[in-house]
Amino acid sequence: MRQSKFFTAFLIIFLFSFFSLGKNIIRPKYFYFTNGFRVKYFNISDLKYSKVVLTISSGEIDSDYTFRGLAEISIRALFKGSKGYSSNSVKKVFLTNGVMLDIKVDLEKIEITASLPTKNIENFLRCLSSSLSAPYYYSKEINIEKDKLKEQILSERKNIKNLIIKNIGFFVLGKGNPYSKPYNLHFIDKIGRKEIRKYYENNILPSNAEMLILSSINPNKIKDSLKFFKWRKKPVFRKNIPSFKRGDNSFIETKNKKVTVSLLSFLPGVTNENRYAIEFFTHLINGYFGSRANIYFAERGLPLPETYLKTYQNISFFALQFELNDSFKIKSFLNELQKFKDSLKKDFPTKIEYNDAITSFIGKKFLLWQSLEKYYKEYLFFKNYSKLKFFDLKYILLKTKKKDINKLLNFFLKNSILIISGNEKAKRELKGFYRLYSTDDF
Amino acid sequence: MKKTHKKKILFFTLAFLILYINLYSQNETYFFTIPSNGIKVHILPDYNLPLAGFSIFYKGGASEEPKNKRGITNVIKYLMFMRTENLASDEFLFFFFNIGAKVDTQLTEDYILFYEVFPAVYVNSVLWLEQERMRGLKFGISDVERAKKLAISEIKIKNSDILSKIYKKIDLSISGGNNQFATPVWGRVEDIRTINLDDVKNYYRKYFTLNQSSIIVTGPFNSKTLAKKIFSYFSKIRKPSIKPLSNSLFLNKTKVLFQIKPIGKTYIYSKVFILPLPKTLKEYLIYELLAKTFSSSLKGDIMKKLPASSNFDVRIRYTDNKAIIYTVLYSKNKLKVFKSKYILENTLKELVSKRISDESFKTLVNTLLSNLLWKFQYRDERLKEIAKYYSITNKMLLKEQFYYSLLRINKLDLYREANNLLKNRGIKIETK
Repeated sequence: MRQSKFFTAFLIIFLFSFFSLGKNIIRPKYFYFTNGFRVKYFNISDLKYSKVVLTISSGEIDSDYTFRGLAEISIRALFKGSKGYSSNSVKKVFLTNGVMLDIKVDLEKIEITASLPTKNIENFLRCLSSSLSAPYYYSKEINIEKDKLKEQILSERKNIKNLIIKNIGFFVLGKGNPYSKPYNLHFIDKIGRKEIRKYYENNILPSNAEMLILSSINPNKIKDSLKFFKWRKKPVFRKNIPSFKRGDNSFIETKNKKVTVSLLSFLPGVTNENRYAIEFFTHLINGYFGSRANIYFAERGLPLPETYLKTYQNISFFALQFELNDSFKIKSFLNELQKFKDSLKKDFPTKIEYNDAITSFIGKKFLLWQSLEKYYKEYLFFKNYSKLKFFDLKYILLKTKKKDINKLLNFFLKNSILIISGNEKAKRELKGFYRLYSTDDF
Repeated sequence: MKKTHKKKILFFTLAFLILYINLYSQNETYFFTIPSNGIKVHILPDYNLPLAGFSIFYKGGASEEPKNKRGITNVIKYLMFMRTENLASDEFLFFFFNIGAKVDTQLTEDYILFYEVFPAVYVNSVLWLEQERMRGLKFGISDVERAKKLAISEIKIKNSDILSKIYKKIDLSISGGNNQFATPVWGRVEDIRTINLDDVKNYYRKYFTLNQSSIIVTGPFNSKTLAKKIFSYFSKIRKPSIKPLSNSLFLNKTKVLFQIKPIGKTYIYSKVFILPLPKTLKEYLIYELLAKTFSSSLKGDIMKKLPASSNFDVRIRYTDNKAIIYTVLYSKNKLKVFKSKYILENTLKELVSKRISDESFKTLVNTLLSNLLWKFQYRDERLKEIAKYYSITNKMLLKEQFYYSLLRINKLDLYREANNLLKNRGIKIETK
């Protein structure tokens, strides 16, 4: 009798754990290499579209130069031939296996995201490990990548708002800080194989990199395809970051009749404690339909701002950009902008703003996390691999109190500067107040 | 072992199996028709995120529009977000904006799709909102005028694009004049200006009917529970039904070569293949592969040989019981267009004479597979892709199905279809 009771209880517990707990916790497998490289693998059953994300904790701030571009060219030219793979065969591996490769290089890190049909992941991993462990860096391929980057910079000059965003650190912090490195065409011309190899050897290192894999392949097969043990071990040296100081208001002279006004600022860096606080703060300002900026400018018939936020470990950059029609006078618009900043000092956020911002913020995050790798990297890591529920994120956001938002607001207002772009007529209207640049300076 | 223990083990094993089968069946796709009004409902569970996608598919898109009223569906598209019996103007949209959702529409010749992607906790509110607008819109003159303005500004933006201009010319050539096929789905500004309240009311009553509509939902839902909810919300709506739509023929293929004037300074060369609609998933995927063959060959050659000012576009349009593959080359340099048209002809020759290498075929299959899988990771893209396939075959496109079907296609299938469908066919449109 006692035995059967025990058996029943055991079965109930087993069934309960099978259907509830098992579904909410996702456990990764770790592969460690002797050279310090770490791989985190999530075996997700029946996943047909695999994701591989390689994050190298080294970016443009780690190069020895005052301009940006070296890290970007180094990583792009990395996939143009390596030991066992000619420049054409790397391309072929990517094409024949349906690999969609996305490379993002910022000041602090390099992120390579590959999306591909699961059945092809092993071929891709072999090629990737060869590219990272023993790249050839052909001069011809380096020149192609340099030309592509130059072309990109030149096309960005046509859209002045993009140019400002690309060089936001330069405007917000002024010269001399690693986070303020701007792009420069002459510098890109000077980059050669020697500089690139040096950057690779000092920064693109196994101890500096981490890989996340989402797939449904047997873990042992994945492990066998990871041939990263040839990647040479070397210590990483971090550079000291000087303190951040606010830059000057500036004017960029263009040939375009349209005037753009950019309100730029810097905020603290992102830590685990304030993970969503900064994003939530910028969302409150201009991230949703009823946000403060959207309502303020729409009610007055003024142009609506576009928002930009880039977060780093040490600093975050935030921008509100406006494009003025011919009918707006710059000075009167600047007065309105000042009034908007003053309005933020009064009662921000109101209870309604706060509640509305929470629901719209969650919705937007959910949309973003449809790319599975973003969900695993951002949310699951943070929540210790417990599956996302709507109310979890709400509770996290509710921890950001009004006083935290006001702290960020004061930081934002204290460090904000104005970058105005326009033609000579606009320059005359603002004479004497601003540091002058032209688009050719970037 | 004692007899009682054996019975218990048997009992628990049975209970476990029933529970498992029950849970498993609730994760399966689910289809039913609401008897009172004929709405078809498709539920496609997906548990990877607490995010839902809801769409309403109305059969009968821009191709049903009467002559001189091209764009009336586009006007109704905007009205669908305005007033209903219980909702003020734009209230529907504000709800979705406030919950950070994505709301959009897709208008084609054969159907119009309204879709939203939102956190799944709001499913009850969304069901209510959707049944509210399916129950009937309540628009007046001012609403129609506002919708017309919005439609006209959309057309002006779309018409400024060079590819829109090119396709307008091509469609005008192959359709032989002023008919539904020759007009872009978003309509004509001059027609929209003449549309009045009665036109909109009549058209709306005739074509936005419940028996022409399907609901497609995806998200972390138990199929049966959601089916009950949908039934309770939508079965109360009763509106007069009309006979199913019948597609009329628009294409007037009388010539195989059309010579047209350049568009501004842009010269074009285009080859258009008009094929029967695919009947099976395999055929559908082969059509997509044929289009991929053209685009990958043009991409490679244009990148290598014709770097500046030349471009191309390849697309498939499924309409009017036909599949139309467009291949378009355009450039500001006349000579380059002349040279690059041979790339197109060579690709065609390679296809019909079975000269594609194994590696190229593998690339084609994997590129298409990767594109489809990419789309299926996003709820909205998935709903659009499903709607496209649904309008052609009346069947749902599931991730598992296309994955395995595509992998089963071999090179010979592609050659066979290319020989059947493309050999000695194709209408040429070129600038003089």
